[in-house]
Amino acid sequence: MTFEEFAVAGNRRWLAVVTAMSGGDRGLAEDVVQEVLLRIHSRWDLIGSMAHRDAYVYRMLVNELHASRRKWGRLIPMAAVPDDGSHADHAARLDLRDELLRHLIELPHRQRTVIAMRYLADMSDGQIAQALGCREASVRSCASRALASLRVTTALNPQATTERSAT
Amino acid sequence: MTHTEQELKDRLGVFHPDPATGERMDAFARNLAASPAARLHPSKSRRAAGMLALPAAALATAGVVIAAVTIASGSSDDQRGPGARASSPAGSVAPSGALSTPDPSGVEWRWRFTVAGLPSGWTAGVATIFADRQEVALSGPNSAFCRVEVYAPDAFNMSRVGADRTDVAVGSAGGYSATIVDAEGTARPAVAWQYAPGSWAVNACRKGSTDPEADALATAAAISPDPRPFAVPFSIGYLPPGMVPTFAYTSDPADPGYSATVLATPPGGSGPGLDSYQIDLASTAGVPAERKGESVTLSTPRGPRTAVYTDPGRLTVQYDGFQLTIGAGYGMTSRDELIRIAENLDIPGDPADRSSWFDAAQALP
Repeated sequence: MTFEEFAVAGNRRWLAVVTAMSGGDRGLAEDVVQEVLLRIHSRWDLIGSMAHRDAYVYRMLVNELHASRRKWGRLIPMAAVPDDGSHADHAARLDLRDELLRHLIELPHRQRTVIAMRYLADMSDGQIAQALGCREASVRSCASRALASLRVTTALNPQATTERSAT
Repeated sequence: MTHTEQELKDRLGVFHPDPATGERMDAFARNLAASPAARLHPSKSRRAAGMLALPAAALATAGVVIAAVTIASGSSDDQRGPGARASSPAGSVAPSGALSTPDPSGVEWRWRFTVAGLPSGWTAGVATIFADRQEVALSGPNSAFCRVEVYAPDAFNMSRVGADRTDVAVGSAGGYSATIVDAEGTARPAVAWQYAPGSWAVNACRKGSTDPEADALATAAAISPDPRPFAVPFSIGYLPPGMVPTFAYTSDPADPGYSATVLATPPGGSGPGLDSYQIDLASTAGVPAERKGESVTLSTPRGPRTAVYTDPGRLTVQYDGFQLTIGAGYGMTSRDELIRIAENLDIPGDPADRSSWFDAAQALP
């Protein structure tokens, strides 16, 4: 697989996950994904041959988002003043009116990350653990707390629960 | 109200990128794949793909912010930094005319400037470092947007200033209002001024600005060679071989989102990357706790400190109200080097006390 194929195959999923992890900041998500793409490209000879390439990329995304937030996230965002003629995202405004999404944004960063990886990237708990560099049990516990906060019950979807337990 | 997992998944769908964003990102990847040169200028390639160039970043409001950018020297002496710094007492500054003079201290700053005293309602964003210039985005009332390109000495080609030029003054500096070809090759109404002999900056105000020339002139006056020494809250005693500080930034310590960052790369580095080290000192207000990792006892200039090392390549040290983070690029994951950097880093007892800060010229090797 070439770098281009890998990037095009993953771009949209990475953008979605990072957007969710960032609490809906699409500008920041684009920046984060681009920075990570640049790094992947610079080291494609190494990363391209990795056995757990996807997990490594997700770890890069998490670290880059974390670094971006540390540096700039608490300051005044410039994403609101792009010079490209873009306008406010209608979906983002709608998000504010959605109870479930609003609660998601209020979750601690790590819980939000787990939820985004699980339900947007369809990653198993094992893959998430690999990406976050933690134990699978920690992922399950984190997800459980997040779902409880979001008042999401897994009982109504036993198939998904069973599938995850099997991974 | 309770929800099911499927409902959660469905609603999360709102975070999927719209088709245009997905296409844009694909184009970015394709451009990257097609152009090996893009590796050297990541930010440039990003803009070429039509993406937002700024790292979603900004400083604080007018008058309270100091942002200084330094770029490691190239090979020629005439691109080095202010000359008289080494022989001046701390707190003094080199005359602007010395910008093209070799620095006898050996501190290889190519150039530096500050953003301070912007008109009310304007904010400055930390922007992109290039080999020949620094770009800073300014945002103002009614979504006004200006982009300043501050060029290294002798790096700006005057032929880019159109024949429609009229003389203007930016503070005490002379310049032109004209149609000017910007760094991306686009001709725009803009203001160009000589912030020091042989050193030019260009400011173009666009979207939202009702009077672009007036906005460009007003905001340009806030961009200047540092009238004060640039102070940093820590002094670096060691950097891995081949690494030099290429970027330094600090916001006001009174800001709850305070942070100070120094980036070290090989000389001429153009930003964070695989081969960079980044040192951040940030207020812990609102910052997620670091992951657990290996506990390391550091021997610092001010006594022992406990740090936490986490893979890949991150060392954190907690201070009262602050957290120090030293990170390595993905190609530089050296635990021992991070520890050595931390052990040779001098941080005042109260990093919020500006009077205890260090002059960057001496504190950044």
